Amino acid sequence: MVTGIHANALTNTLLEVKNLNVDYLASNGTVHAVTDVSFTLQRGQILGLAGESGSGKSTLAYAITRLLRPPAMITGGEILYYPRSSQGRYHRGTTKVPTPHHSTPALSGLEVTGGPQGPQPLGASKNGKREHINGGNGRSEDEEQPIDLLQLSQAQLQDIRWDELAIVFQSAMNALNPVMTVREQIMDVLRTHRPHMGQDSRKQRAIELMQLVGIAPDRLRSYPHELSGGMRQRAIIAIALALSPEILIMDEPTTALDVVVQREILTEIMRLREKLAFSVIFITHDLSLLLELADNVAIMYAGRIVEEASRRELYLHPRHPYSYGLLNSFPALHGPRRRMSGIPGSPPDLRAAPPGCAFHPRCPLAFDTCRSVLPSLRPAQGDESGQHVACHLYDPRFSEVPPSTSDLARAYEALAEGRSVQ
Amino acid sequence: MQTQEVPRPTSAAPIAHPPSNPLHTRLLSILLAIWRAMTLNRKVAAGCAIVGFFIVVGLFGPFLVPYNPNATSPLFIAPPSAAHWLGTTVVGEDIFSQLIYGTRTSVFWGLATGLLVTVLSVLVGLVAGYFGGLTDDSLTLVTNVSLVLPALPLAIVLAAYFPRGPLTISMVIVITSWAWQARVLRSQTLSLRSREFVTAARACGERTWRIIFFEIFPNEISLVVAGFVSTTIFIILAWAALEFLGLGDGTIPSWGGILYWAQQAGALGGGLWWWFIPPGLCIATLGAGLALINFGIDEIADPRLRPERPVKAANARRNSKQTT
Amino acid sequence: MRHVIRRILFYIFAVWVAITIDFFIPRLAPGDPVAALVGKMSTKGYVTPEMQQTLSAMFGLNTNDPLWVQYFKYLGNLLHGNFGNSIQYFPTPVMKIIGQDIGWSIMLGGVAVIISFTLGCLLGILAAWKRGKTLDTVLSPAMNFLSAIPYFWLSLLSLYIFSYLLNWFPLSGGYDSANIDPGWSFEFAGSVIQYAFLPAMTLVIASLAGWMLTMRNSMITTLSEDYVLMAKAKGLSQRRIMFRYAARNAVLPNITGFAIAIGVIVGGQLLTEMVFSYPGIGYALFQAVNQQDYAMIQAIFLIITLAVLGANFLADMLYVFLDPRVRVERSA
Repeated sequence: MVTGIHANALTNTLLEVKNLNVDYLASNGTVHAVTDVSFTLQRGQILGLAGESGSGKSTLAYAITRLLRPPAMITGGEILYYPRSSQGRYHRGTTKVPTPHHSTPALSGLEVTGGPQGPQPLGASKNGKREHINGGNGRSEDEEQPIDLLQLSQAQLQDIRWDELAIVFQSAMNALNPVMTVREQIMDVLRTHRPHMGQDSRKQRAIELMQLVGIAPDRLRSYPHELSGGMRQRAIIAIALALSPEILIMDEPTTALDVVVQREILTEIMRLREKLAFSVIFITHDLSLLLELADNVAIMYAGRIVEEASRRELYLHPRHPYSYGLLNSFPALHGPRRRMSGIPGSPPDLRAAPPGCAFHPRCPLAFDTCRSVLPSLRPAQGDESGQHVACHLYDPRFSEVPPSTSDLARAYEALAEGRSVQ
Repeated sequence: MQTQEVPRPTSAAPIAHPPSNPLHTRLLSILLAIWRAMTLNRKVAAGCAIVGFFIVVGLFGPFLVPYNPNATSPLFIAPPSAAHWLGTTVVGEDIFSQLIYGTRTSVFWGLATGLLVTVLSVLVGLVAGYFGGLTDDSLTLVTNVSLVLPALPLAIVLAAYFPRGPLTISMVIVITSWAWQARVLRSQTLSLRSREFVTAARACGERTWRIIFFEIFPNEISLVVAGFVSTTIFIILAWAALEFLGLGDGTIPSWGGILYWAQQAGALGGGLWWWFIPPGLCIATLGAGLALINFGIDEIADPRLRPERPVKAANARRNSKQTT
Repeated sequence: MRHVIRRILFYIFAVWVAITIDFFIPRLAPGDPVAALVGKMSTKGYVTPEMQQTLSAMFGLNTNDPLWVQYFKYLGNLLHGNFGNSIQYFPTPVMKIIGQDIGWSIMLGGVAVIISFTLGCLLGILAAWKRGKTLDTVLSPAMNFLSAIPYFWLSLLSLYIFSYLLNWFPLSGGYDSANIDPGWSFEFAGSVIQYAFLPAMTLVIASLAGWMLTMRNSMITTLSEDYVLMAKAKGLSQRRIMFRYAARNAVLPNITGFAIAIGVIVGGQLLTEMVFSYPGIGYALFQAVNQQDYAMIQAIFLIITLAVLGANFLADMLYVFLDPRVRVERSA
């Protein structure tokens, strides 16, 4: 019963991304949008994904949900999803269900975590609503066999989509069908995934969802262009929660909104998460947002994850020079006046990233090794906090003493002054 | 720790500013862009080849043709032969010569009228779009009405009353077909007008007509070219139609005119295929060439419409797992 | 609602413009059409003073009324359906002749438009959905070529091949007038279909390409929109995404295009009727031009214009129904 290899699978892991690679095959070169990305999402966790434009965070989100369009292609890696116990899980009454997987060639390459049975059939039923998560006790004795999302057939993917994994797009105006009312856009999801739910219960559910996000139910009859920006975003969130998914991916959901509405939406999200206990992957370029919202933050640069830490650790001790730069590119409201420096330069061309560390041309603390050796994501030297960083400064093989936060601060200040001292 | 030279931070993102190169450099780069566009996209290249062919025939054909197209001969309704490649008409005129001369008429009048229509629609569209207000309202009303009135019947009515000839037909077509392109350009101008480079130009005190024609217009060139091509297709077809109805000058050879005389002589019932098939084929081919150019321009302007070509070597080196 | 009212006012204005154009054209044309006409008609027979009167009256050249009085008389006549008398069929009133012909045109045109629009849109949706595959790579260039073929030449060609060479269809006319009497009988209906088939087919083929290509391009653009991506993310069925999300939005440009295209379609139908000698108003117009029956020409022009405006109006209303964004007052 206990699967030795992935002990944490038994506790709380919901999604495990391993060595994911996504390329854009363009005629003028292959763009490596996402390179060798691995991370884990626990149940009930909010994982923040931060980075500049072009760092690959949106591509990552689309890759996980397999919504990439050509010329984008996933060229390697696995995305393991750990569904809840097989009983009480899915509600499938349709003939869309494929027959037991051992006969389906698509899943023959599944990564199994050691159980003798092989993959679980997606065959049992799930309640419309879910009980609140409590630590790890919710687990039954059934084995947790992960599903590799990249191996699923279109039909299986359709089943999982929205039911387990939902995505909130950046621009609600573009993501809502302009010629359908909000109610129809909620209902068609219900009709597709819950065919046995009666018309009345569907309408009821739609009203519930509107109330959940704080929109008056009579707006169900409205078309998207009749709603304000904030309402549209809430509507999108409501639609996303329609089937009570396990994972909600939010791709810059508040970027297009003003700060006041932004705050409302974020508060809303946190409240909903308390209530419904889903996990969130929150993608944004605004690091300060994540510091408030997320449990853990992963920072991406040039298609790779360069730092991963809890929000507290990241705020107090940003390790990677890039993280430091990001954090400190916003002036503090209080505190002494100081010279600001942004991070000079611009992100690299992902068709031909510089050798070694992709950040080295812009890094105030770069040294020789940085130009030739690619740093890997590893725990910072002597650090037990669980923080991972991909920087040679913390690699005992190349750097004796890892820099402290004040060292980073001084380096950036020197940059702002016009020269760099290491 | 070593001291290192680090490049100065680069400046902030550049603000958009109007092109400052001298005119001839800009023109040259425009021409180069056109040439690249013509040869890069398959459709455009094919279309240009076809149109180019007809232009060449129109220019040089009449010098190489054996007969005078209006010269009658005793050889009536003769099928194609070595002497008359496309046979003769009911009064013995050589059809092939007529076709070649007709090419010159049809192609050049077509292009000239197309140019005229384009100029008119550019003027109306840009002025209406830029000035807004009452000017815009009234011009738009005129445009919309002109759009909604059916072109061919109106053209027929006008051509029936005025003296026959290519000039009448040309004017009539101009009157009935300028509106569509004007409307397209107006909406494009409207959206460009609120862009920052126009505001910047106004703030610099640039004169209005300069703003319209040297700032805004260059951004719309692809639209204008596409419009010119579409309009020319329509013009060539409409011209042929009007000629076919007998509203042209019957003595000047043109493709539509040949068909008119063929119809009058009952070529269809008499099975004289060599009389009425070649002119129509020419019209269709020239039209197709222009249509190809148009769709090619569409593809260039909107990358989403471009044909998805398979990427070659990169695929071979990929892992086995490839999904989207 | 306001949008609807504005459109109605616009169409009323357009009708007025058409009527006024119709009034002024003969009065603006150079030369003296009456004399030329009388001269022409004299070759065919004696021109009675009454006929001369009619001609002059028609051109407003015999009255001493000032122009604006003539104009109002003209308007008054129109409202009573009085378009004057035909010259070819003197003294038959023009309206009577048009009344006979218009039914044929509407039938032919209506059927052809419906078929080609529906078929064109469906093909366009399919071609966009299966983009790059066999269907699309074959169909699209073919349609490209087809869209450039002039209506009337296609008619000539099909008439030549199918009527003359193969003898499958008759060469001219609306029905077998020699053997069958018009009426509600199967024979008549069958004959009508037989005679209408070729012109209808020509019309459909000639206009199919336009619809299909516009729909295809519009679909391709729509398919890259975020809401289609979201529909996919929702796990909805392919068919639902294709029709309810993509096509439903992609068809909108085609409907606006429909309004504009009607003018072209009508023109095309005129020519087709002329080639096939189909007894519709297109053919009547052709004969009127040949015979210089100006009264006919003007009347037919007006009728056609009114029909086109009406169709435009319907298309506008359909668009309002289909696109909820238009119903709101839009700021510039």
